[in-house]
Amino acid sequence: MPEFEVAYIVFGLISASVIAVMGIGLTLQAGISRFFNISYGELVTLGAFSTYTFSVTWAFPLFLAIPVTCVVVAVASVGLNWTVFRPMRNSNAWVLLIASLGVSFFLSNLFFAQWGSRVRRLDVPDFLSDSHKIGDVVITGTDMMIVAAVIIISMLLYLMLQRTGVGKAMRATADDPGLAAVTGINPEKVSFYTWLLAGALAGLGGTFFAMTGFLEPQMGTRIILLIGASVVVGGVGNPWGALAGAFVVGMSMELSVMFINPGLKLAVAFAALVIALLIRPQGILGQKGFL
Amino acid sequence: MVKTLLVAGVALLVLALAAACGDDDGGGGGGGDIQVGILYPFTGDISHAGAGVGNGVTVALDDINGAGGPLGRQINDIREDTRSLSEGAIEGASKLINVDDVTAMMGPTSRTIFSVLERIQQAGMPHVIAVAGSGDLDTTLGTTSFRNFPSDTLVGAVLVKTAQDMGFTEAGFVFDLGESAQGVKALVKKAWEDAGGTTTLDIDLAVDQPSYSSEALQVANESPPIIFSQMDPDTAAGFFPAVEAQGVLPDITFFFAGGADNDLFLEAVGDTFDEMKSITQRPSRVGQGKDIYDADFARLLPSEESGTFDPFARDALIVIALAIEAAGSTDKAAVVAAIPDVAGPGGEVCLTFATCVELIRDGTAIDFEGAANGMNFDETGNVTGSFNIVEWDGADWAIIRELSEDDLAQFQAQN
Repeated sequence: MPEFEVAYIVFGLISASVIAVMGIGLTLQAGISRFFNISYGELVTLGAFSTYTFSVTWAFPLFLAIPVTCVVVAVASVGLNWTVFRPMRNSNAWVLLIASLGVSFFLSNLFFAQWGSRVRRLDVPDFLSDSHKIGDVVITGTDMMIVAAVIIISMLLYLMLQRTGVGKAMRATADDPGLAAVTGINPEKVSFYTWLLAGALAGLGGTFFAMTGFLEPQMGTRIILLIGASVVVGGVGNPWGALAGAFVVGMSMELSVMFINPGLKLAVAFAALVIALLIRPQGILGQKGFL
Repeated sequence: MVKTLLVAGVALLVLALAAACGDDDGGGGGGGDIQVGILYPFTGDISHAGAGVGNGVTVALDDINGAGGPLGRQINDIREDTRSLSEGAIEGASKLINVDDVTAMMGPTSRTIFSVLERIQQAGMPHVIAVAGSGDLDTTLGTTSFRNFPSDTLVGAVLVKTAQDMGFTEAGFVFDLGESAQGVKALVKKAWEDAGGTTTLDIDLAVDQPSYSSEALQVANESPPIIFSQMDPDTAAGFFPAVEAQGVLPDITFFFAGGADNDLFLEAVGDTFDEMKSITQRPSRVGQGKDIYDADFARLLPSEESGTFDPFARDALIVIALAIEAAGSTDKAAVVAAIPDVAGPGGEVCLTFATCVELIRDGTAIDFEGAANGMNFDETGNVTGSFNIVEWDGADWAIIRELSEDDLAQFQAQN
């Protein structure tokens, strides 16, 4: 059995950060739209391939490709809502869940037809791929960038939700859509900004995933399970819950390798999900009966 | 007048339908094309195997149909894509068996073979598996299936003997959780431990993880001098850069049991692959038909490069065509019975369909020798094989060792 090393905690933090970016987006969307959007994984895939297309195919600098990707996926997210989910907004959560599953399959196969089955890697500048030894822990520039990005995103999100009108409207709508509407909050406007933000985070998350691993057209179909686990563990609808859930999932995965074969890491993530729900069914920071 | 035209029209329609039916009789008798099902992954993460098979089939069809085909009928290949998935293999096999009513089948690969093998055998289908090394096929081929590709049981011996010949006594094992990789791992590990080797690292890799840093750290901590490995491109794309980040990549020899010597894998791992010392095995082409095959391949597919799998596919399709000729019909049971007869040994050696079919028509017993190997099936429907050990030199895979059938038999007898 491997000995305890601080490195495993650091790696857990990095894994959690990659999951958290996507988890925050998914949970914001779920909080406003009141359903679990399985096709969010395809927005993540779109993000990864958008960054790949801009930075590798069209030779944009990576740090230009990333914000452009966020815009592209944000627009795609809003478009998806307007064309598919908004017309069904009065349906119950189950109908929307199944609809999102259908959208997921459709987009996944569309991506497969467009980009083929090849596994690709995102080329990153040397300063990101280079290793750095901090104490006994060796991490890459990409790892540091992702953790820093999540800290910055969390701070900006906090400021937005606490200090801006849109943010306050989002919180109010997530807490009680009926009451929010009575107080004059425009639910369409809130929905628009939420899907926009969730899409941008999906684009960023897909890019981060591609930077630490790979991209292939059907990656989103599988990643959504991990993102979903972190969202449910944290409590659906609460962005800070998604952060906490990602932390639980990421840490449990990486720390588990000290005790069991790493091949079971994903099983550990879902075991953590089950245990967390047994202890607190609504999730760490979730509301009872949210969905 | 109208009535006459109507009758004439109906008569023409009936004649056209009869002609259409007679033109394509699938697996039955008659004089149309003979359908052979080619069930392989033409898309998905092991599509390189399907691409190789496709090239081999193209070369075989040129030989077979150029010589008039078995029983004077052309072979028509029906390619079904497994998409590298079991469900795709099941869909493809069902279509080939039930809709296309093919006379014989080839494929699929180790990853999906067990999802369709029973179905193929229940159909009494003449079946040659050209690209599947799974050790589980050593004893499960049954009465209608044959395999002209060396078993992974041999691959285990190949890897272990090579590692020991290179002086390694300690090794690690890093395989992904795929069924194929785990099957190979069990064989290699058993061969390694039976031969007295020490295992210092044994980890499996799950797919679709946000990070492989923890696994890479374990590799760095143990740093075994050689690691036996097999994994899909997506797992490799995340794992090897993580090992590189730990700074131990140049110190370790990665000995791939399979799946690494193709463009999909190299592209997935990217520049990191050039930082690694990577070796792998390839079934060597020792068949007497090798030179003829290479010339045909260069003529027919000038822009393609012959790989590991294509000569096996070519040999498999030719042996099926020869068996149909020897059987004298497309009756499945007769074709199955004829496969070991035409593959030899014991008859007059011949190297192409064109030369072999002439001998059969003269009443001469034949021994078809393939481009990849001698195509001599044992009582389990398997063949033995010899191997090359190849190393990535930054631009290509260079042969560094050769292991003959005798070398392997001797090693297996000792252990």
